[in-house]
Amino acid sequence: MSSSSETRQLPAKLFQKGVHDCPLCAAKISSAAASCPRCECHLEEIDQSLGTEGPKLEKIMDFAGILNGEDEAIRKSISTIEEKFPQLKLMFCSLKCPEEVKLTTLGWWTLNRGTHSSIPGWSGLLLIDPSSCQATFQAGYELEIFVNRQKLEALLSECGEWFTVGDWSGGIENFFQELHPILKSSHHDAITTHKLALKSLGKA
Amino acid sequence: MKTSLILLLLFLASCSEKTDNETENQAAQEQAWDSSFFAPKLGEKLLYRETIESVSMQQTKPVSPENINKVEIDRVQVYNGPEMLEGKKFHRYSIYNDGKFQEGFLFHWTGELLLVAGSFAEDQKPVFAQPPIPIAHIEMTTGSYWHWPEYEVFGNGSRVIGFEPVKVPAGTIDAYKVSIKKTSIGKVTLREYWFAPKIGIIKEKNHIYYGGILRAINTIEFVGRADSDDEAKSS
Amino acid sequence: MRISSFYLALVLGVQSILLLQARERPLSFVSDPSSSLPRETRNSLESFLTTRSNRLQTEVFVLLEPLPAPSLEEAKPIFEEFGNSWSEDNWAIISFRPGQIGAPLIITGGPFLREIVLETWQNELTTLQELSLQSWQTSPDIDFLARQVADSLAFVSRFKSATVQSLVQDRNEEILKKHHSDKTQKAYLIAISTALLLALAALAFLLRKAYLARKKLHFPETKWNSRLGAPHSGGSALIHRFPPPQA
Repeated sequence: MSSSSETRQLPAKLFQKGVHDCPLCAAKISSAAASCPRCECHLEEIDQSLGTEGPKLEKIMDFAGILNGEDEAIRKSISTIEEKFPQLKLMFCSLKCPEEVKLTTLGWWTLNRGTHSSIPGWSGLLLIDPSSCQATFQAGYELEIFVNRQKLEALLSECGEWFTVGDWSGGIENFFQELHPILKSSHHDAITTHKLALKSLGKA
Repeated sequence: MKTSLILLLLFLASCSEKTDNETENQAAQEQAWDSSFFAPKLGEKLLYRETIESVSMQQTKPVSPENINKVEIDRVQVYNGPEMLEGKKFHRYSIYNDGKFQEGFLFHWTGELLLVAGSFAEDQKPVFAQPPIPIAHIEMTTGSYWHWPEYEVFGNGSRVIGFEPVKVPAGTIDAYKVSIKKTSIGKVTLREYWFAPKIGIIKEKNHIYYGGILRAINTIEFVGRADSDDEAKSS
Repeated sequence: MRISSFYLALVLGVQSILLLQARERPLSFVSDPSSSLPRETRNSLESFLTTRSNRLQTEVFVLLEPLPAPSLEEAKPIFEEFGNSWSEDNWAIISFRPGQIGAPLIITGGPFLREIVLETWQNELTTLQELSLQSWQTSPDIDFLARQVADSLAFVSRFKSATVQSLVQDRNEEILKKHHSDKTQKAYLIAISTALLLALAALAFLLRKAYLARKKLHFPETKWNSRLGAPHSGGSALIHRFPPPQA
């Protein structure tokens, strides 16, 4: 699917430098791959195990109960980003991932099959499985273009240190707090790229 | 209440009247100052002869006549007229040595005090002296003295020596003699000038001593007035 | 014994005669028996000193002749006596023996001495003596010295009584005060302007910061492709495994 209004839209690859990888087998795939060339992963196949109706997506979904009600600071961090970047919809979810499902796959399926009121392409989900000690961040098609993969990896690693000492809320709050400047920096780069590209195309 | 208001209005009216009178007086003063002292005429040219006798800086005593270098210059002082600058009235004078523009002076006349307020070069751009230097005062007499911090102006004081007849090429003219002496390390400058009311400085003599010997004598004497092409009018 | 007495009487007599002669006021202000000064210079100087005496009651006597005493120190009191007897006004005696080495002697006297600082006056005279020696002549410039001494004497004699001095002084002080207050005013203006500029700059910075803080940021719209049959997200293999909590 492509977004509308061709007059001011530029190709995503102008902004996104990295490659995509399969949420199931981590194989590198092209941006328009219909299925994974290695594992033949396709959303409909995942639907067969997880269903076609995902949860109602909210800002905080502490299904694993790791926050113990201390979600105010996290909520505030997310709101701060969403106020600054009105396009974005950021969420946190903690759950025990089914053994047969990879956390990345679950996160990917949740974003696609979950129900929410905003534009899902700009969504981002931080998913933590405390039992398997894993954390993933899954982004919609539009958000993933502008968020640097390496920085996200570093950020998850940093939050992991919080989780290791048992400070779940601190780690999650830190994740969104540190995500804010990453997004600002990405925005600045994106605007610059956008202007240069339009100028070179004679559309400025 | 009404009476108080009327009295107040009358008082205010009298104040403004007083202000008007003061303004009139000031204007009257400006228009008709005592022209017996300072009375330049637009375009008037005063002719001077300047003589400079000097010896070289390496010269030691004894000094023979061959060691003395003598230069004579024809100097013309032209009154260019009054000019309003920064809300004040100045009088512009141009000096020409042997027909070539040498320097310009701005004089300021307060009605009682004549001051050198500034100078200008060939570009005519005024450079104001801070502070301005008194040249003459309408009531000056023998013993009159004015001084200023030495670092600010030439010398540290002007002395009025007397009012006497001075013989210059233009004739014998009564003038005030003013003397200024400045000393610094190894150097003494003695400046004397004679100020004649209604004319200006009619004679100036400077002795410059350096390294224990007289180095130069600079004499400027009033020769006379030149015919002016412009219609003379008081300023 | 008789011969020595005779000679003693002779010497004393001569001295008395000399003293008697010297007590009389000279007929002219310039006494130059050996004509050491050029005639024109002498006449001009005489005229000048006469005018000074008539107009300003300051008298300068120029004695170009031998000293009345063997040494300068001995001559000073004699000249003082001469001056006080020759003039009732302020006076000066300039003594120089043609051919002598050194500067002419200057002795002054009169009522003005009570009104001035003697040391300052002596310094002034010393300066004039030195300047007279620095002329281009082989001998001191007596004409220059006499005129300068006459001028200085005329000035200091009347310095206190001059009325315009305070007017000019006040005017000059006003000018200086205004000059300094202008300078101070200028300094204040510069300081205030600088402070205002800095304040404005700080305000602009804060306003901009506040504006930027409130400003909403929008990423550009792009043309993207879906993948793996997923409508909203293509997913990624981004995952982090962390050590289990120690708590």
